[in-house]
Amino acid sequence: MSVADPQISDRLRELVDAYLDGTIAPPEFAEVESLLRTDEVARAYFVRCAQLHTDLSLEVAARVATEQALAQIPEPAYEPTASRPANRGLTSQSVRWLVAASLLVGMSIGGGVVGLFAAQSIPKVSPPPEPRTLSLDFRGGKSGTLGDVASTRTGFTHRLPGTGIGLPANDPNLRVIPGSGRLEVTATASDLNTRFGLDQAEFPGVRLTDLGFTGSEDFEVVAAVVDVPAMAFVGQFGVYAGVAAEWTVRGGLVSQREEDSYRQFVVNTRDGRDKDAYFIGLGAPGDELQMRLSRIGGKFSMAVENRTSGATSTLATRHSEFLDGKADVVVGVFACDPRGKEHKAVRFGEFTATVWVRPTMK
Amino acid sequence: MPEHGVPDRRDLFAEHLRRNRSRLFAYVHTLVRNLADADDVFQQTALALWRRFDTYDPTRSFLNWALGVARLEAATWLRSHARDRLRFSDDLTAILLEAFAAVPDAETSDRQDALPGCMDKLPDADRLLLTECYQNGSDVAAVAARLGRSAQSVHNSLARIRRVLHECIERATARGTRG
Repeated sequence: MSVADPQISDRLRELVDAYLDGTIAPPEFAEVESLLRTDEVARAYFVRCAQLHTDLSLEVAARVATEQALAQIPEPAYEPTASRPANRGLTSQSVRWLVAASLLVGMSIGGGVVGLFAAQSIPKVSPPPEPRTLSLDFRGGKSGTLGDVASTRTGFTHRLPGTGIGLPANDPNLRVIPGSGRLEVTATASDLNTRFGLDQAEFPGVRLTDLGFTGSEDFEVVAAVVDVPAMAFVGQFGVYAGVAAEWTVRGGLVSQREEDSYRQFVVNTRDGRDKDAYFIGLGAPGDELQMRLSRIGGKFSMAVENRTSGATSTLATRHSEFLDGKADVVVGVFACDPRGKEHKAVRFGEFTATVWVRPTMK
Repeated sequence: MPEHGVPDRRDLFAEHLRRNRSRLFAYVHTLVRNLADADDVFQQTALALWRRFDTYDPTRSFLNWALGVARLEAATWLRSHARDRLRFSDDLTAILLEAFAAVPDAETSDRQDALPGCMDKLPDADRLLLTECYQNGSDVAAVAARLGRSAQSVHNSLARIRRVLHECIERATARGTRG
């Protein structure tokens, strides 16, 4: 039986997909039951889809477990290539970690069966991580959070350590636009790269520890930008995750030399200098964007969905090992305009930070 | 392996279970429709099979026997844990059992072998969406909310990606090479 078999109707495909995704409604459920009970081809197609559904679950679990294990293998500190040994090979520690990773993957797929014979009972598999999300809608944040120019609370609780220490309590660069669910952040003459103007740098954010983060969990930060402004060359805005101004991953859009032109970027700031920068794609003033910085299995990626053009592009960074195991991570939004004379405001829409916390065993 | 080369009873059971675990797990997964729950039911099934292994008739298919036990375990589990979940009627689970048992071993393993290569050929965004949806068995609505998309849009994307994977796997298995 081939999945392209013309005997398989579009309706059957829709029903099976809805069943597997858990989106099927009771009337459709009755319909798929009827088809499976009476039609042998439908059953064969269903079995094939169900097997792929399960195989995908196991393959994704194995891939995530692999990346998580590999992320724990220490990478060499950043250094010029010439100073590295010519042939490093695998250290005995690396080999041990690789074996651990292999075991981890094996356990994800079929470890329960092995355990059965070790102790006559199958070890309990850890429950899957659960998302804990903090959402800001910029319609009046809790008291005690950062205040805007008019003392309205923004909802952001912290700043990236080392930034904004010269800014007053009622920050003139922040403005919650009443009733609109927008936060306007005026870019200042600052840049994490070279530690430029950090006392005025706008990097408001929230602490991941407030969501149960302990240093190793997956997390993501998402922000919408509703109207891309026209910034001077290297003007930039986006989202970040970091423990200090000198040790941060940030991504978003950066203005190009060509007028009204942006590129998507993601970069590691290591010891106050931008390293490992990646660029892709184009944006333009007036565009509406959603930016998503994720750390999944220890690896960062930055996705920008241009809601105006409909395009989405994703960039991954060189491993940001300086954040591995660090619990005191702050995530948030930023706007910098190191060369601009007329600093532009970036309007952010909804903001969310999510940590996937593994619940305690039942 | 004990003396004289006679397979130990546990070794024999382990061999049967390992050889058939993929279709057994898929069957359970299909009935309970959640990966974590499927893991629980699969383990309960494995223990039940082990307890009843003395009653297994080695002249008959182990897979059919195991699927029958899994069917009962899944039904018990669904009755006590997921009363409100849509689930197939008893007669249909029996019919599906036959359909799962009818798939040849080699076909299942060939398709599993081809999957990683086919996943690697997907665009990054598609692989990311698969991870979002399959990593924790997240439901489509929750993933859609996280991604700021509609549930229908995520569902449509998943359906498209699975179809691409099906086609890739069929090409790979047809020519006897991977990916």
